[in-house]
Amino acid sequence: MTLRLVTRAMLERRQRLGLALGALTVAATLATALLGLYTDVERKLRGQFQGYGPNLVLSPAEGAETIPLALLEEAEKHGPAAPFLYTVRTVEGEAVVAAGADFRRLAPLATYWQVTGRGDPGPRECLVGERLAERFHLRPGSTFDSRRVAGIVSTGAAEDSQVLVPIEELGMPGVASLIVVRVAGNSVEQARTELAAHRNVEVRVVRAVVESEAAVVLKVRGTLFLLTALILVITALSVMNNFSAVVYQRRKEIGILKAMGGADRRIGLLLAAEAASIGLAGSLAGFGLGWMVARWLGWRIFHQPAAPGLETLPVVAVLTVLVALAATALPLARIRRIQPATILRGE
Amino acid sequence: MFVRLIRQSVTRSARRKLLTVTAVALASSIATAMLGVLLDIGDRVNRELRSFGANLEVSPKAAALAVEIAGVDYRPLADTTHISEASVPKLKDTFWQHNITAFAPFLPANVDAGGRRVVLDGTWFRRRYRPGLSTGVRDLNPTWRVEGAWIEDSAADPDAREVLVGSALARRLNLQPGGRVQMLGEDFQIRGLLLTGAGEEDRMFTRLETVQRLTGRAGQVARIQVGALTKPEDAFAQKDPKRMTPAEYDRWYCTPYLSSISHQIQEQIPEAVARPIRRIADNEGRILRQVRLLMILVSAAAMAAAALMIWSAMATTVLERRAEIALLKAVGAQNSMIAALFAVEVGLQGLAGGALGAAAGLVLARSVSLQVFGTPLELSPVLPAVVILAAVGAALAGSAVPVRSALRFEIAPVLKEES
Repeated sequence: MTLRLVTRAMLERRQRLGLALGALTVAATLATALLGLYTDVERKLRGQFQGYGPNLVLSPAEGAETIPLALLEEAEKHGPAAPFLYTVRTVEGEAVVAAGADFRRLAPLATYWQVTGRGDPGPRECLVGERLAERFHLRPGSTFDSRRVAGIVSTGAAEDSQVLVPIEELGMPGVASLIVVRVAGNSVEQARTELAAHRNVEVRVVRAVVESEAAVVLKVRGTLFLLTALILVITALSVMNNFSAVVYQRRKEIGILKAMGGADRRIGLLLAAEAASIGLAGSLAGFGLGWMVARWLGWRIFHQPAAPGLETLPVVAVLTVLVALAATALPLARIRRIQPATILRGE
Repeated sequence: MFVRLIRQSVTRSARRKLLTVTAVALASSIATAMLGVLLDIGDRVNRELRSFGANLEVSPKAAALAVEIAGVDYRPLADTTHISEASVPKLKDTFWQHNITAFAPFLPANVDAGGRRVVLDGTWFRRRYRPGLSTGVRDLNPTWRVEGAWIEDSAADPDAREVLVGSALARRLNLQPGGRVQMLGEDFQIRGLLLTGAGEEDRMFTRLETVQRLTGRAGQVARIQVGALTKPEDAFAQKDPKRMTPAEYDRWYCTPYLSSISHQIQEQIPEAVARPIRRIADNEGRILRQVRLLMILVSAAAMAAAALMIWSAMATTVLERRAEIALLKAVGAQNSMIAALFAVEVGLQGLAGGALGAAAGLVLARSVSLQVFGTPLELSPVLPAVVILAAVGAALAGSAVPVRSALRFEIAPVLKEES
């Protein structure tokens, strides 16, 4: 009987229910998309900061000129790492810094380098900095210090005046002047402590990178959090407002049920069951839509999909059903107090 | 008659009116808050990213190659190319002076300190270079920390002998804040140790005028680092300014791209060349673009939801009033009259709700901004007006379809059903 009443009630008033369901679906969509985006935004944004390159630098401690290359393996446990070995060479009567680098390892740490030509010199090849190239009139393919120039690099920093060669060709095996590491932004301190435990090495945290990353990520996340909360609360209020109107419109129907001897509790249950099923339907539809919206947003912004996991579904469902139930309870309390006769007379 | 109908409708059935006005107000408050934060966040994040340090370096056109490893200069002879110190404040005479947030000139000297060859950089820490205007490395690099005290150089003092020592160098030379160090035949007092995590920790810093005097290079600087707020480079910024049409050139010139700011700096200081520091400049643009896009898309989603909310609230109330429409028709009202009646009524509700919501949204946006960034935001007065107009539009659109369908109904069944 209850089931039939609920299903009949729904089928009979398709237009009004459609509106209520629509509003709940919009709310659930918004909740899913925003929660999905919010839980993922920190990881995604921190990923974006990788472009700033290394945030930890290992350099020789007091008294040493170099650090053992073996430390590279330790460093790589914490993230991408690359060694550099610096020497000064005299080319055509002029002093030039030659930097030995491991180009394969360097690539993920130097995404901001602008290279004309090839960025991965092979044996007996080199990369030259933009200013050095200007000074010696070099182009990709020309010869510098008896090496073939593979490419010209522009960074706006020290590399612009250097020549970069494969580290193993500098004739100093097993050592490096420094090792740069890119550690995930939230585990910098831990990596620093672990690496500083090795002897003869000094670990520096590149303060500008670490602090700016934290500031920006936390602030964007904070803004998104407050806006998400704001939108969800306002949406819930608006849906409740709308939904109670739909329930209140049915006062006549409720009056008839009461006149026929329906107990208040029974009628309440009936309406609650109806509200819960609409809420559930709305949350399922909303989750599906929201999942797609979040995926699209993630793809659009970070070029990788951000899909809220299934664990968001129960949260969204419970919230939506609660909103629907709360919206039903308000007008119901008012209807209860009225005599059926008054309602049926149409006042 | 028409006016009386409207007045009656507005004053009667307050509950229903309250419902729609509330719905419109809630939705417009979301819209206002989102737009307020959205319009502001790019600028906020841009300023936040400026703490990375300079994104432009200005150096003399004919500067020699730097031959420096870990704070030691290996050049046999010092580079004597220079920019004149008098040109430095000209950075603030460019078209984009307000976008140039900080800058600092540098003049390095090779010195012997404690038996080691090190680089001593003369610079501005926080120099008052024009009345009411000051800048320097402290403003350019807000993440730098000092153990001890900064050098206070708001006014030039060529006789001062103070120095900040990079913390890595200080460990090697065993120097402490408050101690003394001999350089260039003079006795310097160590004000503090500098902590940055980067190459600066291997160098020493002192007042610009001290280095100028002790090396006989009065009025010279070797390079200037500049921090500028820029617009992320887009496809248009990639174009070669020399090949632009005059209209394009004007647009490029009047947009704060890094390339146009560099160009204007070179116009002011012709003996120099401004190059982007790519690690900072390129990443800054990318992150800025992404944060903006994030906020734009989230706001678009919220805005669409707000419009739907208004729409559904309006549709609900119109459905409720089908009997009224039927009654008006029964007593002979024209369809156009009924439509006009509803339009005015709904428009008034949209106006009231939109105004309430815009006011509430402004408060919300301000508190979000205060909460996250610690400063209130400035909003253009256009924003609430736009939101109110949009709210009225959404309300009218929401009621249009149900009113039209109600007008098409047969009168008798509706009246019978509802009475």
